[in-house]
Formats: sequence, C-alpha cells, structure tokens
Amino acid sequence: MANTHDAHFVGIIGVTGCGKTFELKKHLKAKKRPRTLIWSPKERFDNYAALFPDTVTTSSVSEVLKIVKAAGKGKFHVVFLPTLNQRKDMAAFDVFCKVALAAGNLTMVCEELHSVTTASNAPDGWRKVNFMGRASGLDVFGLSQRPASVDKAFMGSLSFLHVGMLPHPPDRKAIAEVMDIDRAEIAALTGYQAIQKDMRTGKISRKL
Amino acid sequence: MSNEPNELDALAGEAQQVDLLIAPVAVETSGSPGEPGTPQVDPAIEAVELAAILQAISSLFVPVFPSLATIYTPDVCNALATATIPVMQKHGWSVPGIMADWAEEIALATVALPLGFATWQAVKADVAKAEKAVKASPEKAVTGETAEVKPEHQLTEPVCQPRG
Repeated sequence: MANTHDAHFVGIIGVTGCGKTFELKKHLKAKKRPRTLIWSPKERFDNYAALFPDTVTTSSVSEVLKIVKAAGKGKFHVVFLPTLNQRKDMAAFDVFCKVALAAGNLTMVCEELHSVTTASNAPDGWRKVNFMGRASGLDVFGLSQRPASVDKAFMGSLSFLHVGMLPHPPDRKAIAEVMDIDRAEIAALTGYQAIQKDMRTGKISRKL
Repeated sequence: MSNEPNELDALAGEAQQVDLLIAPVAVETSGSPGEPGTPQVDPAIEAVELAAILQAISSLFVPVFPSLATIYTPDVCNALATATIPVMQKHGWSVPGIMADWAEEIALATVALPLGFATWQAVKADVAKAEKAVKASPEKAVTGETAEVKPEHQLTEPVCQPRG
C-alpha cells in the first residue's frame, strides 16, 4: 500500500537521568496521539499512565489485544508492564508488537529497548514493526540506556536520533557508528547535553 | 492493511500462550490475613530499579573519576543490585521506600555534585594560576602588584606620548 502516513521512528538514547523522558514527552506533545501503546518496564518511576487520559495499565497481552480490538479505529491508551524476566518479556514484546502492527495508526513507545532485544537479535514482531510499521502508520519511539544491546534493525529504521550522556565505551562506539560522528563527541556529553541527528537529512544539532 | 479484525483475531492464540508463560507480577500483601498490608514488590523488579539507580549515581562521578565508568558497568551494577535486594528485604527496606524518603536529597545531589566539581576545578585552576604568577615574579607578588611580565621597552616608555 502507499505510504500515506507521516510515520516517525525515533531513538532516544542515554543513561538514566540524562533527559530521555523529557525529550520523549516533547515529541509526544508535538501532535495529537489518540492511540498509544506503551511498553513501560519502570512504570513506577516513569508514570506513562499519567500522560494520556483513560489509560489502561496491564500486564496481560490478551487484555491489550482486547482493548485494541474493542477500540476499532477509535481511541485507546494502554501501558503494558513487563515482568523484567528477559525470556518472558521477549515473548510478550513479540505479540505486543504484532498487535500494534495489526491495529495500525498508533503511537508506540518502547522503554528500555535493550531489555527485549540484542544487537543481532529481536523478536519477530519488533522486526516487522521496523520494516512495515511506517506503512501501517506507526510512530515508534525506542528508548534505551544501552544502545550496544539494541538491535541494528531499529537503528537502521530511525528517522531521528537523540543521544545523551553515555558512560560506557561500547555504547559510545555503537552510537558513534550509527550517527557517523567521532566517538569523542559522545564521550564528552555530560548532564543534559545531547546530540541529535535527523537521519533523513543527515543534519546534526548539538545541545551543549 | 492494518486494523483488520482478522489480523487481530489471529493473534488471540499467541496472546493467550504468552499470558500463560509470563508470571503475573506478585502483588501479595504482608501482614496477617484480613489485615491491610504493604504491597510486596517482585525482587527482580527491585533489582532492576536499584541497578538503574546505581548506574545513575556512578555516572554522576564519572566526570570526576573517569575510571568509574569501567568499574560500574551495567553488569556490575546488576550483580550488586541483585545481591543487595535480599539484604534490604531482610532489614525491611525497599527501593521505592528509599526513593520516596530521599527523593529530594537525590534530586539535589544530581544537581549539586556536578556543580561542586565544576567549582572545585575552577578554584583549583585559579589557585594554580596565582601560584604560577608568584613563582614567575615573587617580589611583585609580595607588594601586591600583578605578576604580569611586560616587555622591557614598555616599562621605560611614557604612558602617553605628546602629539605633534
């Protein structure tokens, strides 16, 4: 089908406390988002349920499916709380992503992406989101503090990348390669400093 | 095409299987039966949260002590957190409890520590500059003059030259 949707794949990367959530909220507020699916491992701290009215919080994939089906083409806001057991969460994330793709026309937020992917492997559902999500009208936001463990398929799908402080050398290396900039630039980031790249135009901006 | 009921219906079986696989997050309550208790949090969840806190705290000190980045790796923080949670539970402490009790102090530390370090660096640099100046021209430093060394010709020439 024709790609008639202005879908965005946004990566927001950096250590805890570097402003990832602030950056995410800025993007989320940029337009109306009547349909959201949020994968939130640290919900007690992040409190994504407070972002949108009438959000349903659940740990059941079947319930997510039920809500999405009942909504049809209408509104829904769901926050999913994973178990933090990687094997179980990868299975749940797989179906969670397939539901998002099948529903279409929604905003998907995936927190702590490295907890359900590795650099070379990701659940089938997530892979499908990466190469078919744009056609299904998905806006996808992936957040992680360990980009070295985030799958390359997502990094390759990005339309926009925001990178904050990264203390660990393997993460700096991974991001420097994706952004095509010097690793020292990533290493120099502190506090709320960040480097952003529009992956479609190649334009880099620095918030220093 | 997305949003097709058939596509969503086809996922019902997978969703049920996953729900059977994933254990629900424990929300048992402490205290005697019939009494209101405090929700018990899954130790695995607490360990992840504590590891994130440890990483955040270690990151604060990385600008001062860069070697910490190689010591407090995510794996080390995870191991430390996993070992710490049982001890915390033994003493009745919890990560959310600490965050609730010390949230303001932690927020202050995240701002004050980098600021304190920057101040220390700046003062250290100023002191070093002053000491260097004293060494370069000790007698002027004693009389309170600036230790900036001027070229010989500037010292002997008048400040203002009459014109014409």
